[in-house]
Amino acid sequence: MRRSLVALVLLALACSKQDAAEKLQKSVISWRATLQIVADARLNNEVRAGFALKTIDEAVDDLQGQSSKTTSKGAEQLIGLAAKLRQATERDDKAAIAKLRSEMR
Amino acid sequence: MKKFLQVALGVVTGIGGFLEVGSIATAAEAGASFKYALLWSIALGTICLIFLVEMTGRLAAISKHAVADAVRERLGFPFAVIPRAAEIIVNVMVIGAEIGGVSLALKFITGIDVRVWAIPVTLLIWLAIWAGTLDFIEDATSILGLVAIAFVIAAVKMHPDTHAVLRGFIPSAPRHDPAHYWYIAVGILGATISPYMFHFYGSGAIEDKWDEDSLGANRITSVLGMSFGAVMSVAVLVCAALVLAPRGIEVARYEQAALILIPALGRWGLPLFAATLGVCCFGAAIEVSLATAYMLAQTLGWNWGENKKPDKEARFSMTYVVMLLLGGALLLTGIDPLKLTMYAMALTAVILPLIVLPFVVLLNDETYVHEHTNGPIGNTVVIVTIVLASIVAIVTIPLEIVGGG
Repeated sequence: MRRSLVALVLLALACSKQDAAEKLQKSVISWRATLQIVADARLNNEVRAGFALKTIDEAVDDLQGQSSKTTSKGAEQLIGLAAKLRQATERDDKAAIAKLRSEMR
Repeated sequence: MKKFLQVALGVVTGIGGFLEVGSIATAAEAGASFKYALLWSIALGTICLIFLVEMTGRLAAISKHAVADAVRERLGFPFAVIPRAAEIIVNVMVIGAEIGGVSLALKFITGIDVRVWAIPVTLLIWLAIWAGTLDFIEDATSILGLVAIAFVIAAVKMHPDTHAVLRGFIPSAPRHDPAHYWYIAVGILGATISPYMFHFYGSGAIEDKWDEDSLGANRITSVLGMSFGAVMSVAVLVCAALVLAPRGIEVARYEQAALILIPALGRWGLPLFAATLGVCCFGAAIEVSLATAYMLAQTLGWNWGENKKPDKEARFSMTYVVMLLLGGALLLTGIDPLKLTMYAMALTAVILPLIVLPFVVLLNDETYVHEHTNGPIGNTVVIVTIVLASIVAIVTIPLEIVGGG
């Protein structure tokens, strides 16, 4: 009885870990595409720098929140790119934004 | 001419009143996650809403009773207490979500955090209700709400595949992530068939002194107003399906939904999204606050009326003040406005059977609606809505756990 209970708990933990990893994977794809649109929009002056910065912050906040439960190289890499994009947006450095935009592909 | 203007205004009210934080959030999430596959749920919810709103107006015009008032009188106070208490709890969440919507719109424009805006926005909504008349509130928010047409223009400009869009109106099983699919479907139904609309519409009809001659205008307003409102909601979903879905963007934060107009409208995209969100949520926050005050006053037998001075019905006025304060306080806790919206819409769906059930009795009772009782189609729609809402009520909580994310 106890063994099956432990097995059940382990199975549940494994499933939740798999779910968290899968969710993080989807979030990385979603935020990568979001940041691409924001970078494009910033390059075309379609959004204010303030909006772009807030969106980058939301991306980092969401990815970091999920990364505390499970690890992902993709998430770490995107968080790094987002930090650079934030700096480039703050400086209004269009060339750097364009370069980071191409790195996000 | 006066009748025509009444109908035209009613249609505009439908557009402005239909779209709010819940319908924008659920439609955007549906389009982003499942392309056009959930369009049927907007259509289904709208059909139910048209019939129920028309019945609410008919009941008010003939019997001079709003829904809450008639339920208390016909079915007794004990029957009225549980649904009304449930509505108050859900409405606090909805008001919080609507204040959150206005605050988010201001955040998109100014970059200042939602929590900073929560108090000024709450005060501004209170001021509009306190100082304005019902006509002023309806006209101003409805006409400003026409900015939502931007979604239709954007959707048309992006040339969606017409056949794929039309196929979306046929209910289908999800190809992936079924729990999330049904969770959003429930959210769309909750956002579309909003119980507060019955209280607001019916009480407004009594305040505007509708009578038997108003039945034609009531029917046209219900059908055209709600249909045009639904078109806006469909346009939000289509824009999300065209912009977010192909890129794999899921709406985890409102900032992602705010991007849907940019590819079609360029630099106007974000300001128009913010304006639509802000105006529609502002109007909806007023409507939900007033609807709760109407409902409570009618259930407890207080004086009520937005057109009267606040000191003439102090308890009615106090109710909307308290509701606004509770909604605003909810935002100050730091809760994510998008999550609050989705929970509020799902819980709205949970309480729906309790709210809709009395329609069967009231709209078939000749002492209330004389010869204008429901026909077989009307009764079928009410019963279908009750059955649908009951199924939704049972599955909502499990879906929220599994599919809510």
